[in-house]
Amino acid sequence: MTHKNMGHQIRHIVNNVVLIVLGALWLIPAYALLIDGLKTTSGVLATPVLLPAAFSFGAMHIVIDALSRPILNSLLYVLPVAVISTFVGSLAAFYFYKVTSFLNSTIFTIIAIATFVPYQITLVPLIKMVVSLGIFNSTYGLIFAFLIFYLPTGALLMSIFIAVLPRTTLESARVDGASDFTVFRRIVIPLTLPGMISTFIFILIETWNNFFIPLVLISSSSRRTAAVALLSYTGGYGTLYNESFAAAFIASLIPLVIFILLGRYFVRGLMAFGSGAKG
Amino acid sequence: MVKIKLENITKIFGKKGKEFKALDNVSFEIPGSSFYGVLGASGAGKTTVMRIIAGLETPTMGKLYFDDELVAADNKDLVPVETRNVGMVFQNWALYPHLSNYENIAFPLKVRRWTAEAINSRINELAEILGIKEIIHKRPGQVSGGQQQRVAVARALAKNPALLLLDEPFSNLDANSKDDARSLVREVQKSLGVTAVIVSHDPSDIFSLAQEVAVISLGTVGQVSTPEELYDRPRNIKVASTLGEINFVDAQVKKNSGGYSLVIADDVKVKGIDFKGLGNDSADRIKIGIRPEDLMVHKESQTSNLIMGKEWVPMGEFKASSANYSQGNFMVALQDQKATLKINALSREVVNPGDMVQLFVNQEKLKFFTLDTGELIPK
Amino acid sequence: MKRLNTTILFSIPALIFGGILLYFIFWNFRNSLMDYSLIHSHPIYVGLKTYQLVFSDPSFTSSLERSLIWSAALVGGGNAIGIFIGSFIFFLKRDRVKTVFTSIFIYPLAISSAAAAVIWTWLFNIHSGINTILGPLHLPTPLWLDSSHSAFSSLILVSLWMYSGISALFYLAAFQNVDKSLIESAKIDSAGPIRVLGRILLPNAKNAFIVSTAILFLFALRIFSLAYVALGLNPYIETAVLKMYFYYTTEYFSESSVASIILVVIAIVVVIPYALYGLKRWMINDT
Repeated sequence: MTHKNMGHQIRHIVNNVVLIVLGALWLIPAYALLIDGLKTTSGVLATPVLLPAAFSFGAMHIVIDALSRPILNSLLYVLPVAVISTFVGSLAAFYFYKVTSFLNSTIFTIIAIATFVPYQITLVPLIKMVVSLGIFNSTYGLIFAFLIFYLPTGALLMSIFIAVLPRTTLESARVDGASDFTVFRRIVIPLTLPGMISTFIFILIETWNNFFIPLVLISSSSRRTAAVALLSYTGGYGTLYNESFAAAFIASLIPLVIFILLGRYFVRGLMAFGSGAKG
Repeated sequence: MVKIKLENITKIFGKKGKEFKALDNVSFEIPGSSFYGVLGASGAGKTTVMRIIAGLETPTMGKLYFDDELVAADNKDLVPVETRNVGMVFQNWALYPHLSNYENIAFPLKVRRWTAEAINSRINELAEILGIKEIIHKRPGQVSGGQQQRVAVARALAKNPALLLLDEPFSNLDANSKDDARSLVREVQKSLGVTAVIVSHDPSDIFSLAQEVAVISLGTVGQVSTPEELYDRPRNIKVASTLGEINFVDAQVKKNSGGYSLVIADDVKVKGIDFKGLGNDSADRIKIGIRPEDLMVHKESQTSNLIMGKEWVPMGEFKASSANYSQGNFMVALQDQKATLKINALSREVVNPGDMVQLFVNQEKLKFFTLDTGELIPK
Repeated sequence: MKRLNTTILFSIPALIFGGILLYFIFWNFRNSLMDYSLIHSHPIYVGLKTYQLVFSDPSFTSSLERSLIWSAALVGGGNAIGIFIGSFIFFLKRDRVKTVFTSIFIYPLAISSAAAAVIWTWLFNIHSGINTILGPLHLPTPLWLDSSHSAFSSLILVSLWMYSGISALFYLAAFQNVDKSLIESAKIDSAGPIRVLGRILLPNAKNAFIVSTAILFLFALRIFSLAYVALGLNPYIETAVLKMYFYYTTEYFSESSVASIILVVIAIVVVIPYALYGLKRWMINDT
């Protein structure tokens, strides 16, 4: 009896130790992010990246100044995209849920596949279209471009969340006389709210961190996003790493905070995405 | 209040090559203010019938009338679900989990833009009748199955529908709640005079509530009549099976001086049958339907002391192979001595596996079917 | 019917934007069959000539090779690490601890890949980065990004750090969906965790494998900023996506489209089994 218990105990200890070690490895960049952004200029020159040094907000100040505009820009672009993609995506998901036909399923699948294709390939036609619409290097242009990729993603995610709603509940609403929009507003939205939050957060983080699309569509530095503005801090000679880390920290602050506070919704969204095939 | 008529309704699901015919030329009429039953096994098509009447499905072919107004015809819904003024109680009740019971019942009224006061008085009225006043502000998830069901009924009746549809409404309830629920529904229907249709696979639902019944199997209507008629004179074997447990045995009819006798197996002969319905051939083969409740089982030791009516005719000695107890009775599986025949009988006495018993059958309750078509042979 | 019309409205915006996305893909296809570049500023139809041109460009073929190797490495390594971490988290006892660890392995996704690129280029710095710890511990101190050989592997490692967590999450979800009674009866039969993993959990996690593989592969294909940022330090890590971008910036538009289409084809080939599996589910729900 004690042998088995011992075996169990040892197993649990090993389990925990392995995870702690791996977890620590995973956290090294975060650790570096924290301690290195707070180093002084001399600290940076004297200590290696992984060792802490005297505290100073100097680098942070410089970086916050430089990045405040890009961060505001990012918010300006990202929030509307996340809101629209989630809400309008839900509408579309509801439609596809209600009207099931071969045509619909095919269209849906084709669009779903398209969202998996690397978005970088749309580089040339995207720029052409944005330029011809006169919205190159503008807020509208970037939001428009983001929507092209993320609205279908929103519809895809929400369709997974809507698919698990019991059909009879929605049918009952129809028998009660509710129109489609009433069913959507009064029944679907309340019941899929966690899913909507997941989708919103997922798209928020994805668009905030998206580097490529703002890179190609925004030419003036006053309109740059946080992700792109980071470019000026990327290694090379003369850059001090405390500023690099401070910049990385500040630029990632908003998504990181959202992740810490609402991480479980983000995880739920990912899980739904992953089990989407299982339904 | 509304009268419903189904005319040659056919429903086909699926696409070319993978089609499934759920209903084939189903026709029957539901009189206004009556309580109508649709009985059938799972997958027979009865839920499809209900959904077509409600408007949740469209008939591929055929016509549906509400009070002589054409409501759906040939793959088109002329009157959509939302405006058919039908109240429906789903099998799983389909209550809105995020709303309170009060708001659930209020939902159809809010959709119709009733004023808050009107809604309030209506809900109080219904809550009184259905006995759900105390739990009215709770959520569906917080109350029992029986209470949820009553909330669902209240919601269906809230808008004063012309038609009340009940889709296996009692299947999720335990045995005790079922009886209460049935009486409640019966009372409500009678007092409101609303046309009610109950769809179920459970014959007891039908017998306790329906005034007229349509039996559906494999997408076609087997028989339409009153419950008693169905029970005593099922039109064919399919219909007979839908109404409850029934034994089917092949038998040879032999005519002799005292009447007819049925030879079921070498060692099972039933004599003295009073039976006129067969042709001239005295050695006809037929199929006999015997319900377990029309059999009587007695242990050997007691047969000498029994007084039975003359409708009870001996079938011989049988051995019990298994016995299940259910609600006051024993359902006993019997085998004849040569183990060629298996019959299930209902016994009020305790029977253990291995016991030898004497079996008696109520000859008035025997149902005779032709061997080839399975049709009932009238007596 | 009026009802159907209002419902269709629901889907229109998504269809419009989805349609634009599809249009872009087709545009690339059409453009890839043209000759449209700095030299030929009016596109002419040339059939598959541009494809031949691109395939005979050694810098393209090596970049494509790199993309594929990266994808394969991320799929192999990501799945392995994912299964490893997923199963360890699965065997933890307390839910809170599970959530904490899951978050630890997923948080890299919240960090922009540009920020990750910044962080890792510094961590890989041979003078002030990780090597300063590895050295004293007598562990190997590779040249990371400074060498043409190890630069590529270094970036692969970073991508493993970024994306293995998702894989672990998918596997964890699949494991948790396995009927508990199966696991319990195995435990009664004195099966150890490795046996439970191999005999019960993994066979039921085929979904997770398919999804994880598809997603890891595609994420690897589209990695841009990580390689872009590190490119300045080491030219030997150009991937197909970067190549496509550079074709564009040097105004060889058709060649850019060719590279795009090749990437699209690869992506579709990988996604199709996953999508078909999902579509089958839809069809079953239809009838």
